[in-house]
Amino acid sequence: MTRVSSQTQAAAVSAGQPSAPGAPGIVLSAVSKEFPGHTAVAGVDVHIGAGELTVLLGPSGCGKSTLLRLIAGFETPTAGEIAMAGRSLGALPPAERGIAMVFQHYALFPHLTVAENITFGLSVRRTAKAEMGDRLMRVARMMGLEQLLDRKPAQLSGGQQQRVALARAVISERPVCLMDEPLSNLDAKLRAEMRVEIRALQQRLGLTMVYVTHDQVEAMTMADRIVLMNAGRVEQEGTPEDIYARPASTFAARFIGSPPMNLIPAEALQAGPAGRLAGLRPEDMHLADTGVPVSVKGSEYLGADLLVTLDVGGTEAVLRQPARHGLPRGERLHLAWAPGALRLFDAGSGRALPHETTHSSH
Amino acid sequence: MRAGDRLITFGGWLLALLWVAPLAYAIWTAFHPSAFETRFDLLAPLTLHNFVDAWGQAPFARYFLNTVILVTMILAVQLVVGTFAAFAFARLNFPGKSVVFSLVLLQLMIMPDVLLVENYRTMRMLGLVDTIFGIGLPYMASAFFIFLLRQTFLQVPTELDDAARIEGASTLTLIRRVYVPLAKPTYVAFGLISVSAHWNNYVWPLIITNSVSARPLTVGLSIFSASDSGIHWSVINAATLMTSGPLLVGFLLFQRAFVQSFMRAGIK
Ligand SMILES: Nc1ncnc2c1ncn2[C@@H]1O[C@H](COP(=O)(O)OP(=O)(O)OP(=O)(O)O)[C@@H](O)[C@H]1O
Ligand SMILES: [Mg+2]
Repeated sequence: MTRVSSQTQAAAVSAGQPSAPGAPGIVLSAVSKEFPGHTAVAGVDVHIGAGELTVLLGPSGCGKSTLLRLIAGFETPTAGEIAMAGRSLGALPPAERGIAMVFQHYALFPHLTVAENITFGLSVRRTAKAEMGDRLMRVARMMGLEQLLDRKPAQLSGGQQQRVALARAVISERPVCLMDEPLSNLDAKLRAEMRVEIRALQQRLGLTMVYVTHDQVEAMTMADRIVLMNAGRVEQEGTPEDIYARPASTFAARFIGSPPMNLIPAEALQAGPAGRLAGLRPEDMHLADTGVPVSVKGSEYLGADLLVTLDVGGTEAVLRQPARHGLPRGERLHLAWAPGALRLFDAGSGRALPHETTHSSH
Repeated sequence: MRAGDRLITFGGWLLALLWVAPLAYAIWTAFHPSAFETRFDLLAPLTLHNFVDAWGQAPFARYFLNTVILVTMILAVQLVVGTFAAFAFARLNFPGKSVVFSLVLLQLMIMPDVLLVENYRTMRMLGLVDTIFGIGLPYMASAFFIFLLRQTFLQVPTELDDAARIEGASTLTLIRRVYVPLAKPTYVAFGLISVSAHWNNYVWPLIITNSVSARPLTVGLSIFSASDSGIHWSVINAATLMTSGPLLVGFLLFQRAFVQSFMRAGIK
């Protein structure tokens, strides 16, 4: 069954078309995973769109890898169900789920050459030699690995190893690709390049991709949709723009954005009653002649921008402004913000309050 | 510092000389007529006569065959059994795993010689006294190898398991194509130890065998040299060289491969 579909995909690739025209979506319903004495994933409902890049984002230990391993079939959920293309996966073994995976430490076989690493899966599945060679050449060219095929993984740089790991996923021509922090071992420059490359690959091949990271920049730049996780639960799900502009909780507000959203007691901004937190993005605030009185505590120069740390009624807040405006002078400074930029949160539960109740100081 | 180095070098040479002296003596006597057993003369005539003598006076060909069969059989079974056992202990979860593993460890603590009598009784019960299989059987599940290989397997990142499994590899394929090749240096090192130990093992085969058809070289040689038919030292030494020769030559030939294998083990 998987054989037939992979052959039709092979034909599609050689015709210059996306390899996975029918990449399936994945639906997780009330999925939980308990380890002895510890709940790693608690009642997660997620829709992973067909042909989309979905990022699982969250702090360390929030259950991202566990969720990915549940989708891959390395772990079985203690409750709930995972369905792909409308069919429940049940206890289907990983190899029969039509998924490829890229691992955090690349998981290259040290004793095999690059070529053997890339074709490992094909040779395990007893693909014909000729077809194997064709596909190897095509993928090696696509990933720029032609010169390295005879090397061992230990003779490659981190970035090259990463490419081999990607090539191994691509050559399988499986329509779903799972990635667990694939860039965390690369330096910043390479990471930025690979981000673009992986995204382009995913779009060119029309893959359904689930991408795990704890780096919100990676999530924002790559994702069609972000699933923000916290302590085994889904905190918020949406497009990067959605989550950035309308964080559903103080956790989402603080996790996304660099520097993150400022959370200031609402009464200090005269923006609401006690027990509320007002959320303002650093770039939505500016210093004005009237408004909430503030004082400057410090500043950080970033080249294009200047981050100014303010004291707003005893709470620290960071404001971003173009660096050429210089550090504001004077004793009596006032804070103002763009209309509609302010979000209100319940201080107790941390949940966002409906947008209508917010009002600007102007 | 330098003086210390020199002392160490000197010590090394001294030990090497002490070790090589009996061998040198054996080689000397084996290649010269018996008249030169206790006389060192550079111009003494060389001869192969001692070897011919020894070969003719006892069934060494049969002993050789027995030893080769014995050593090969033990090693083959040890490698297969050890591979599966080590993988199970390193990667599988099964009820009673820790109990079974502590039994294996227990076997490590016990000197084989303690079990000579008990092993003899067991072999007699199984009807394996005076068979090659009977010599080998007690050694076929090597606790040392299982332990050693388990430690090696534990160092294989589980990510590699996952990577192989998602490609459709079965447990057997995983062992054959990932674990075994990655543990190659361990296999080579243990193979070396096993072959030399069982090639040279003496007490147990002496006890369990009593006929030419099962007797290995070591036992055959000792019987040959103990027979009081007035055999010369030169003939005995020729026989000794014959029996230990193949092992020695083999190790010298493959020494480079062994060393390289160990070096590679250090890298990965
Ligand atoms: N096999 C396991 N047995 C017991 N607990 C586990 C197991 N795997 C994961 N956990 C626990 O489940 C929680 C979630 O782990 P997980 O690896 O999914 O986190 P993560 O979000 O991927 O974190 P990171 O960003 O550090 O990789 C952690 O507290 C972890 O200790
Ligand atoms: Mg993880």
